[in-house]
Amino acid sequence: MKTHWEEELKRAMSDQSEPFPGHEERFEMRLMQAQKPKGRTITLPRWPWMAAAAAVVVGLIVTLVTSEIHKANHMADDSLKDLHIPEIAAAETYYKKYATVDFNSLNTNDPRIQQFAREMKRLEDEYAKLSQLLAQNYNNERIAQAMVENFQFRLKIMEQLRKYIEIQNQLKNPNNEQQIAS
Amino acid sequence: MQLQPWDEIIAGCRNRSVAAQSTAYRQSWRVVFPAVYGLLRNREEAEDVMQDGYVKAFARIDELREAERFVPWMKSICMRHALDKLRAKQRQNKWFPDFEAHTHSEHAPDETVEWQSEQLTRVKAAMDQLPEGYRVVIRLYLLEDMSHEDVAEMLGITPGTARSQYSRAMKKLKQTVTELT
Repeated sequence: MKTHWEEELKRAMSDQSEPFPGHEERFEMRLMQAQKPKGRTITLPRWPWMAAAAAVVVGLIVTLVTSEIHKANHMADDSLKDLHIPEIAAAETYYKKYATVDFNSLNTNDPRIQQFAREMKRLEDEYAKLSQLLAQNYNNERIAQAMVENFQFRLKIMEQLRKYIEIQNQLKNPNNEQQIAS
Repeated sequence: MQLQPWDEIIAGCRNRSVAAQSTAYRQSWRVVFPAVYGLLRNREEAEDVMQDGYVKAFARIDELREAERFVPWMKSICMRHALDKLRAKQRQNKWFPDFEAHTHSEHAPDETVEWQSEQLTRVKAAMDQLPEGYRVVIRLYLLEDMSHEDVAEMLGITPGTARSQYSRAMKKLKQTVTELT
């Protein structure tokens, strides 16, 4: 049994407070966020795939432009020692071993090949800087991604170079002209 | 606003439908919010705690047996959540202070006359000055119409303690009102 004082107090303290406007919309946002599946943040599994893809493309290039590619460049980049991602280190080693173009063995008077050489040099320099940056910022995904893209660009340039040399060889081969004429 | 039947809404909530959860919120916050706000006395914080309580409650909606009991169930969850928040804030202070009644009956506020606006202002100010624990037991017992047993269960104390703390809280409140007069 409540006293008169208690009843008055109850009446006095009863309030019909409301949240700030827009709270229903804010709640819906909260519900949607709560139902979002927790996405994976680790992206390392991409590295083996990249290494495998790079190996396949590099293998093709090696077969087709054997004369232009040195097979034994074991030059180790100091920055590579600072890297602790085994996948990227393996891909880089493989790339350096089988996919380095010796432009000196090509016709360096050809302006098109000079252009390929400049672009490769620029990407190699950029890669060296990225390696140093990654060593300092080990968890920075954007740097790692830039390194992957750097590989991809270099592979594209090599593919274009291969096609260019193939066309040049066909043009120089007199049999081709005879085949076309017949 | 046309109310949707609770059994339909809760069925949707059990299927993790955001639309159903949103409808449940829209149909019940008017009951839940004042209780949470009454404990926390901060609209922004009360909204945050209440909405957090809803999200957590929806995650365990299967524990709700009767759809029609959704509102009291949700209110209870959100109030517990608010009490946890208060306890975390009050960790450094004593939840229930030692209190010796010094209330003299001749100075006690008049219990028979209708409260005037001045008296109301004084009572509200006195409530604000009460230690958190006292304010909470008054609110739960008086404003939420909970029994001393329910208050005890919610606060994790014995019913006897709930009863005695309520009694002390009321004495303290009357004393403070008198001092403000």
